[in-house]
Amino acid sequence: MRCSRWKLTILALGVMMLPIIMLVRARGSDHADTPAIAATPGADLTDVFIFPSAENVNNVVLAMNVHPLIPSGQGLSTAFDPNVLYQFKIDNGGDSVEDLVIQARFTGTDPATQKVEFAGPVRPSRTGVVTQFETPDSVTGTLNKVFTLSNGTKVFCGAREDPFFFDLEQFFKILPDRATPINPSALPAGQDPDAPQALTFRPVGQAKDFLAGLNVLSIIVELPKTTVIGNGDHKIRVWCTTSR
Amino acid sequence: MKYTHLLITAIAVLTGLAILAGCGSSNNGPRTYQQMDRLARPAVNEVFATVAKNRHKVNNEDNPTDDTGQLANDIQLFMTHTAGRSQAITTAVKSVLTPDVLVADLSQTGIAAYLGVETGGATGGKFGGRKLSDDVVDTSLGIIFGNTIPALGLAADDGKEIAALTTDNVGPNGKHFANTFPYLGPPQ
Repeated sequence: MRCSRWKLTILALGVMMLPIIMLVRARGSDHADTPAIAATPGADLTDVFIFPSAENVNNVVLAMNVHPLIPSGQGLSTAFDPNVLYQFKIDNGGDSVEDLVIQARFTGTDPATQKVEFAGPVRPSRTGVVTQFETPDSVTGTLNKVFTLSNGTKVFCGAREDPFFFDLEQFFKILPDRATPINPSALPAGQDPDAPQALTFRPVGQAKDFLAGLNVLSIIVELPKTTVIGNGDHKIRVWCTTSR
Repeated sequence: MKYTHLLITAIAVLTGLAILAGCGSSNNGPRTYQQMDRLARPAVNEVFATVAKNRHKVNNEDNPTDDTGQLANDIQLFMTHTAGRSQAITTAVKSVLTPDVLVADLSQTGIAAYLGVETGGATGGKFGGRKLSDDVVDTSLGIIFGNTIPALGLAADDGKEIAALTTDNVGPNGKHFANTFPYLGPPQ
């Protein structure tokens, strides 16, 4: 059976859209991958960033975001999941196995009083998918307030504007059959739900960021580059995990 | 519907068992945590791995060292079958995107740029990593549907680009990034 190029394209976009659609249906995120994760937004990783500090040339900033699609005005009333261990994993030897971890763990469920403990950067007791919380720093913090660990790491845990930008609405026009379950009124009665209503993205000026006005929960750390580099080159390979 | 309920019940029962098992083990040593989600490069597992056959779940619950035998196969299938790109471009994409980690070269003093280390600075700087304003959706669309890989000299042009799908025309201008810690904008 031959498929037209456009059908293949739409299929390709469909595959790309699946997690997003599942996410929206579950009020999850642009990155919700599985039903289990969409149902556990506090464990749903949406973004990872690494950039040099704008405040101190000796420092590097690591940021992870979780808990997608927090509505406008509700950021400060959203807490981290106290059952989840949040980790930055850092390979500084080039084998893609973590040499260091930075871990965060939360206690309590009220965002006004929830406490956070940090461990690391430290060599983990065990690598891989089963992990344990290492010895915590003596300093604990609260949400939405910058604090500094005893090892000098500057920390922020709390609500931030979702930094991700993407025209999801136009994706739904390209893929109306995917949009239908979310918004049944999107299609006029009798219209073929498989027929794309658009074949291109919207031009500049009409394209819209679907995530505008929405929030996430962020864990942001700033620390000296010397605390994460290895003995060889100064490259680090970083990924984030959530575990329960 | 019936099946949905059965599935939910099964998940609930399994979750309960898992929690009980977790409680049990806490008496015999430190509490352990089982990985649920994993993320480094944005829109990689999300784009290339299907939800069907649990491909997302597998990649979320394993390690970067597993990517050459797992995620790389998802990229292979998507690029050659779904997107219709050449094997040469597909091979280049696999070598750039697996293992799935964000690479940063801390000896570099310039700004961060997504895929900067992997591309020798072609994406905007050799520090690599990922800065807040990096347009990673357009970067990903360019790799999948555009001529990013041939333009980088990583593979020959296959003439199968779809220009209308290489940008969503949304940029970071509406965000409220800051030059001071914590850098991400305040909640809206």
